Amino acid sequence: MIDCPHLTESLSDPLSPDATKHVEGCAICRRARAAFKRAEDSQPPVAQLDKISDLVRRELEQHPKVWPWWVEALAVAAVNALMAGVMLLSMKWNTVQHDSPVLRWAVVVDLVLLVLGGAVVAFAPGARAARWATVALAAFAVVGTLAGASGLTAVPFAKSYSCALIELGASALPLGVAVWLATRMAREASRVVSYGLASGAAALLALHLHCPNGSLEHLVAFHLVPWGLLIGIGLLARAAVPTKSYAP
Amino acid sequence: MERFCTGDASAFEALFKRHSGAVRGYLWRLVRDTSLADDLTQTAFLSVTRARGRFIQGNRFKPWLYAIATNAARDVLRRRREQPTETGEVLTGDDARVEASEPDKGLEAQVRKALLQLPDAQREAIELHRFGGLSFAEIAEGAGVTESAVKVRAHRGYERLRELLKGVWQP
Repeated sequence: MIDCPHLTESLSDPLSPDATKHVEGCAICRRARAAFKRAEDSQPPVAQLDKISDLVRRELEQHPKVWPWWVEALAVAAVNALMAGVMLLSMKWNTVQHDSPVLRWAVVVDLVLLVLGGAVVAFAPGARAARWATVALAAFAVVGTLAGASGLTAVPFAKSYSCALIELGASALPLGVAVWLATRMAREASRVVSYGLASGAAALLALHLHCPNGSLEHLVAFHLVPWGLLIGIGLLARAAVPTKSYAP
Repeated sequence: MERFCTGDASAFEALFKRHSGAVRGYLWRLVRDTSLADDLTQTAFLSVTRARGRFIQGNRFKPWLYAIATNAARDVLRRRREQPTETGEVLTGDDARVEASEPDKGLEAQVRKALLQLPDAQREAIELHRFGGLSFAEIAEGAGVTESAVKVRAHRGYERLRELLKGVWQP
């Protein structure tokens, strides 16, 4: 049987001094290591790499210039900002929803950061930690919205679902643009979460300053849950569209 | 890479010549299917061309290229949800496990089969390090994770290999 308590270390590379000593005296580990080396040395059949080279060269000739990543990031941020701007200007200003002006504006700042920054970090190469920072920003927006809620209800709960429809409808374009542009990089859940949050934040920002309903159940069901739903829609949409480039 | 980013075809030729064979070998080890490995090599280099605007100047090209190749292979394997064998036939995990315990196969083949049964992240860490010749730091750079995370993945992979090889009888 190929079984030795030191096999894990014996297969590793480079070998530690202790493992080297062990391998020298252990037939099982020597055998397993040799087999591993042979598997390592095995080669695939010869390929027609010239064909691949020609194809890629043609692609390069057809597209000699390429946009830097931040152009796509700014495009998504601009669409988000445009949507937020259109909604802010087209709806009636209302602050009945809030009990605390400090929290109201803190959430506004937070959402603006998400609208712009979320889009940028979603498209930035690397930036994994920054992408998770967007989740922290979203968490703050949720806590701030609920903690600062006035509890006042202008419209009965059952009839106040229009906020969810507005949020989902207004987020469709920013999210669609983000998903489409994101096909130029590898599919990664944290990126979808970032641009999903950013897309939803644009509509949420408008609702935050215009919705006359400050009850917790309304805010949860028709402002915040749709925001989470957008991430799910984004993940499904991104999984459904083919990837054009697998760059990280 | 800087010249390639501006669309210089000769720079591409140099990069392709230097890396294509090794990348194809790496992809072949991941998928164990020659035509799929060729397709993935093509996809990887097309990705490099299309996404060269995402390459950060000053970074190393090789980890970036291997990260792209890994992402492409992972996407294909995810879609397949099954593990391919050397001959291109598709085995489910269970079938592969049964074969791995057959006594009449060579240990080398058992090692290869055991490698195929590792979770993607563990296998990629081992393949990139042992077969791709990348350091743990370079793998981490490409994958966007910490070096210690890659080391843990590789260690867990070796542990799993040990467990899988336990059932192999070698007279």
